[in-house]
Amino acid sequence: MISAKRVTPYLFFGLTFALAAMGAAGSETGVRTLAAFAFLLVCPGLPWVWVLGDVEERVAVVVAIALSVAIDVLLSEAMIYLRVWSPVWGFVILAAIGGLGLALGAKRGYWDRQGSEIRQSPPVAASMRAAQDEP
Amino acid sequence: MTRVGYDYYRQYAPMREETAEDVYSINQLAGFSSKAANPAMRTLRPETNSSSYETNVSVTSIAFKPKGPMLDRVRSGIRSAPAPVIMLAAVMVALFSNVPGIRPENMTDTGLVSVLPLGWFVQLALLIVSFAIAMHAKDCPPIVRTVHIVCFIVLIHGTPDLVYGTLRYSWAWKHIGVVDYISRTGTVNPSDPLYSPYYNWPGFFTLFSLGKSFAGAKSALAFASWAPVYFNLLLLAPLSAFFGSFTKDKRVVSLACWLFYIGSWIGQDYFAPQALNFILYIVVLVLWLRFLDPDLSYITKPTRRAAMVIMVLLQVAIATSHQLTPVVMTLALTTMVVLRKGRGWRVAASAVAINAAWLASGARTFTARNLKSVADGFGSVTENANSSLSDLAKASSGQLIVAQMGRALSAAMLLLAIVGIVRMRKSKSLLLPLALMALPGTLLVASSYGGEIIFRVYLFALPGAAFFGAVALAAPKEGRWTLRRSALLAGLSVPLIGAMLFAHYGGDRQYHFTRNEVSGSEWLYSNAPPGSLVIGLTSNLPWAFEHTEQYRYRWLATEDDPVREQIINEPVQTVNDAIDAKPTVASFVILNRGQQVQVEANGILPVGAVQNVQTKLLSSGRFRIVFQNADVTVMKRESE
Repeated sequence: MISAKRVTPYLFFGLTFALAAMGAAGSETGVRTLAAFAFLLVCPGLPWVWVLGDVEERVAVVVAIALSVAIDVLLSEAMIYLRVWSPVWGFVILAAIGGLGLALGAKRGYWDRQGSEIRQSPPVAASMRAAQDEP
Repeated sequence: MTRVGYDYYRQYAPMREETAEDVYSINQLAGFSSKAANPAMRTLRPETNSSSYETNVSVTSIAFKPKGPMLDRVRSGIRSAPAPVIMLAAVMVALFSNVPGIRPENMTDTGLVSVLPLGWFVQLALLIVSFAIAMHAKDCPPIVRTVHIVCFIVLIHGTPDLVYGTLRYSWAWKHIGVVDYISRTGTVNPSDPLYSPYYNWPGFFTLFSLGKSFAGAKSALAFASWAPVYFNLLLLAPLSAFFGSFTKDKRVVSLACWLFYIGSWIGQDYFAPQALNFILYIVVLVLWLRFLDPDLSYITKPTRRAAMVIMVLLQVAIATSHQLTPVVMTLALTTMVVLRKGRGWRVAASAVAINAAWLASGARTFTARNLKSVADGFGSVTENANSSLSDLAKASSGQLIVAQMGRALSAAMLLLAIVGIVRMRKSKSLLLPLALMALPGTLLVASSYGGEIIFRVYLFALPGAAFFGAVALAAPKEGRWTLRRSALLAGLSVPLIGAMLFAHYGGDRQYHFTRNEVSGSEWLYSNAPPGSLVIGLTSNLPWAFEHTEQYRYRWLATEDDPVREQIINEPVQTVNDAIDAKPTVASFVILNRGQQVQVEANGILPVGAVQNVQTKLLSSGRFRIVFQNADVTVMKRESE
């Protein structure tokens, strides 16, 4: 089974290197635009989902994307208010944030095959409450 | 829950998914110990002697269907629901095949609907019928229904982008200018009155400035016009997780998503902070419901802490990116805490603290300027609500239909929600979604939000309304989703979507811009010297999308009544007065198709007023045409 957990390292490195390569080559294509926003949506946050432990995959992806956006927003605002605006450094810092999450997750064995296959979250409490009451 | 029970679930849950029919207590689950030893086991039957495993969770559910890779799920979908899959495939194959034949220049005041070809409606009808059948199909995997919703989003929101080929909404062009300013200067300008809210809550714009630089794009126009498509697609998963927090029935989740996108007619999904922050807001609610709800006893302390840290990061991102969303988020979290008897109060407290801190720091310029007007509007519920509604007495007949369709759709969503609430009246899980639906209404007390408050209230109430709407249409607890119920769903979807098309596309004759209009504006910004004054009747044109800080603007027909009257009777004198009021490098008057449509459709000026202004300015001898095409005329005052 292909899980978000198992593809995370590949996705992270793939997007980071692809975007870096296209940036270095000065590409101005739609592919670079797609890669840029995929990087912003995925790379800073997805490598950190391990902090939530055994979480349902759909929820993990949702949280990862939102976390990525939050990190992007906070970093870009910090660069503006500190008057150190630099997209290149922004890219490096975002990649470093994601890389750190990936490394710490790897240290805990989160990205390994076994982990990806056995861990899923139990149903949520709200659904438990609702189970008896549904129409 | 006991550790054994949870470990058991954790280990074997991936092999299953929950269904409405198979509900067992967690105590029963824990009794599987002997069969659980075999991981290859695909079908499990619960044992009943499970008294040794006590739990504080009353009921949970498991499912007994294999859950394999995506391809397996697709195969399973084709086997179990061939008809909707085939119909869906047909819609996808021919998704935008009708677009080349659409002629936006023939559009009437009822908007894009007036020029959509029959084939487009056939596609939509096929999608509706297919979705209704997919709801009926017994073993249809949820992914099939999800793909229907994805198709619906792409069809509804992708069509205008392909037909027009330019960014809709004049105010969205300003957002492009803010992104341009930030990425060019690396600063914000909170004291700029024209862009004050944007620079005081700059998160959305700094994010897209970074994105623009990463993409190597010259302008945010490269990705802004498709915003309704990607924002709605990005919202789907959080929305699904949100609805999934209230019910285990995946049909209800799919149906709630379907109804949400049908009900979402107000156009808050374009390239603007609201669209992004609404997604983040839903994720904050999902995080609370999935990790912080006190009933979730199996969530470990470190996980709760991690979820709280993520929520705080999201709260900071929201608080620094948008004015209204943090208020709604704080209200929602506070309500959840109150309903849960004070547990999880730290999250609500952090929301209050973060918002207050930002209002006093990053947004202090705006706060200081607008505190009095906010205070004046506080408590004026009727005035705040009415400020959002268009004056139908002055509107054209087409716009009258559009406004009525929007109101009818909103009323229908509310009615469906009420039916759902009545149906759930004895349920213990009624209160939380009901509170989340009702509490945005309190915003009406606070402010008119620049005449938009009622639309924002509707937006924030819509997830709750869609959930109750889905409950209203859902099968009874023990019953099946019958074909008759599917027919009811399709029958109900047709008029609702019909109203949505009018309400959502209805303003497009004035909200979209032709390539000619864009060319006119591009010429203006390429040739007008910095410091120039740009005058128009309204701001309904592509404007301020580059070098925002270098130009001043006046929109005469939207100023106070004396000026509006004067522009009709004495256009030359009015324009000269506007130019002479403050010395400037150069002055340009720009009149375009969009302004003409807007003033006539909304009854701002009489029919023919724009042409009259242009004729009189030219015949005065003081103005000459410096750029003109079929849709735009740019004039410059001669003396300069």
